[in-house]
Amino acid sequence: MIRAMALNETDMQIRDLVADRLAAVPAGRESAAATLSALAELGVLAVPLPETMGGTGEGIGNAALLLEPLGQHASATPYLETICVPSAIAGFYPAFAPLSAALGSSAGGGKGAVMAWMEQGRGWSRTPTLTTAVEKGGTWVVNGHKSLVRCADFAETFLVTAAVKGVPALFWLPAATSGVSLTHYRSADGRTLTDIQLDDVVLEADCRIDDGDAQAAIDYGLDAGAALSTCEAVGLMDRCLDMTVDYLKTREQFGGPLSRMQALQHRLVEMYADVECAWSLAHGAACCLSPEMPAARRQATVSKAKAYVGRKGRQVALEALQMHGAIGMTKEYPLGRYLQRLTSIDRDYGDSQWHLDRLERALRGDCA
Amino acid sequence: MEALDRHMLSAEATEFRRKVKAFLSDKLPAYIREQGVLERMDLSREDQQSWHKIVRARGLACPGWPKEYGGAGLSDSELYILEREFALAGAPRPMIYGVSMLGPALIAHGTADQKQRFLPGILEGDVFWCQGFSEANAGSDLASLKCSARRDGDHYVINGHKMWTSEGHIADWMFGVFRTDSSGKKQQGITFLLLDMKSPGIIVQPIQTFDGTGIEINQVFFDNVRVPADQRIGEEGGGWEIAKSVLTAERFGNAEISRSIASLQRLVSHCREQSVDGRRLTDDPSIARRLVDLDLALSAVEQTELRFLFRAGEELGAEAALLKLRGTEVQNEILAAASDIFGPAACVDLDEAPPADAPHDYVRASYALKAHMNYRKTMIYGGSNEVQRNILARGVLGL
Repeated sequence: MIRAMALNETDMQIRDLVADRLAAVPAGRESAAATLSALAELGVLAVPLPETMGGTGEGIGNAALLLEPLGQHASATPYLETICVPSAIAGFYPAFAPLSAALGSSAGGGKGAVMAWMEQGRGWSRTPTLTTAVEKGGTWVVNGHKSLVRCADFAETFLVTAAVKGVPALFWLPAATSGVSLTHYRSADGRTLTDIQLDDVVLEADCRIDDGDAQAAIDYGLDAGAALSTCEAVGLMDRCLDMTVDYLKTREQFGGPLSRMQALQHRLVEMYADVECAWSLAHGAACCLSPEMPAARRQATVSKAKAYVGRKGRQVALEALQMHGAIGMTKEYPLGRYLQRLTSIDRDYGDSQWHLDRLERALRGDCA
Repeated sequence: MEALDRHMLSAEATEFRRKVKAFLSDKLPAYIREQGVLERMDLSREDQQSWHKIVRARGLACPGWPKEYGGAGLSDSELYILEREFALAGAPRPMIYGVSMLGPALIAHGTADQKQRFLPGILEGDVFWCQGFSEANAGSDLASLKCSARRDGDHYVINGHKMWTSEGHIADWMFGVFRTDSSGKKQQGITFLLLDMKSPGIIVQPIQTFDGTGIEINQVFFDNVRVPADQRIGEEGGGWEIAKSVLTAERFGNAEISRSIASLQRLVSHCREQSVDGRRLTDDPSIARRLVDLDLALSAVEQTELRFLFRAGEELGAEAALLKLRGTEVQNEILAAASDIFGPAACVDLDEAPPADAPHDYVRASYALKAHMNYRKTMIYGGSNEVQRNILARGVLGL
């Protein structure tokens, strides 16, 4: 269990409220919608939103108060995709009403908007090139392809990144628009991943969200996703540790509980130290999302957290699996879900390698 | 939610940091700073003392002691900032045995007379202390100590020996734990005594380490050494708890995070500025990745230390052991990286007085290797890292 969390009383109350409510929801791949509506009933989904929308008004970092318990519970919900990332984008464009409306819908447990930014064969690049938009007679015509969009099954609209004369732009693109075709895949951790084909999709002029260059907003939105994904990951890591400690205390072999073995104790301690350190970095990453934070400092803080948690999260879960032995390999035992989820989180919003590369560019003094 | 370092950025904290920086840039002598930058640990008694007196003149000596005992009475945030800025500037650490270890123990457990007698010497930097804890067969398992103190009227009579006594060769006095009773549990029957290193019957034998640095550690032999009973701190048999409190204070300091930050900053600057065979070191992908990984590991323990120090309240116990564990691991990785990156000259073993025309590269690389070897001790002393893992297994995970 993570010790001495740096949370004030109100923060702790929200976190505990969420944890208590989640305890009554069945965990598992099919329970994302049920989990969301349970939290919507409590009214806590809006926590990271502005006060006018029912939030605490303390910024999107406060989403960590939900995400860590969600991680403990291993529910693969679209919370990050439909609330956190769109809310970060909305901070840049507060006057764009449809986005606020979508956030309101998501905060009530309904469908909303998700960001569509990856392009096939271009890794984790945040700058669109294969999706383009051209102005034509007072409308926009969008062509191209977006790959592996997370949680599109909870979205009615996509926040699509596209190049306009080589400059990144953001478009509001309803899923039902003519010329949009979707192909759904299932992810190893039970989410839906969707490829979006865009063929001569015609959008009204006011569907362009940005005002000339969306790169800073895209970076901020994806940094918010990366930062907050680490908060969920820490919950997952923490449960992996607890499960393993509990299991080894009860699993009797060689005439006693396995937890008596010093070789295993020291491995558990390594896991523990990593979980505590991960919590600290994840907390720092969530806090650095405040709009006043200089971009370079935010990027460094987020990338450190994402790279650390990405690697250590998988390591902790793999250690948990190894120490459980064969039981951990079964689908019935929950540990596998934690490992799959932690592995998936490492591959969301830039994997460990991408974030280490970004830190290296900063070290060399190159532009990020 | 609040950032962990929020209170370090307040107006008061910023002003305090500015004052400390100004003091260091004014008053830290170049010949002392140079030793810090070279990661040298074996500062002479004279250098330690003259720096202490400079710090004392500024009112910053014994920074954590309450003002009534002459300390600087700094808040926790100020102490944190002070330690960080001293390390970044290449200033020596405080004389830890007196200032950081014995001082707080005396203030907590000493009588009024004992405080009056011993604190001023520490405060003024006139009396050097060493710590008599470890023995040949009581290292990580300290409670097994055997060096005996037999009561004889108004005195204790010490027989036996202490081992790995840092600075024993330059110390005026020793604080230590001695066995006054071996009938009960081994943690009982341990008594905390202060003794004059000039007492008849004491022999100090320096131990030369393999790393090529000067003398740091010693063996101390006791042959019927008489110690007045009024130099006992706490009750007879009550020394274990005092020793534990001294070691817990040590465990926080032992994370060495500020020094590691300074070491890594210097290494990164070096790699940004230096080229090898026409390529800037940071343009070497394996070096860049290594530096980034070190920074990552260091940030992880730095942020956790901030959280434990300032947000844990009273509930923190065994968790602190993870700071020593992770802190000393990353410290050693940084120093190993430096000795690799400084290049082939790292195998040159330069002594106290290198040839006048030795290139600066040689000097830096040679000391980097010495530091890499010397600092392995941080994972061994203060309760080895394996002991820290045992503490965490039992105290945190309930194993």
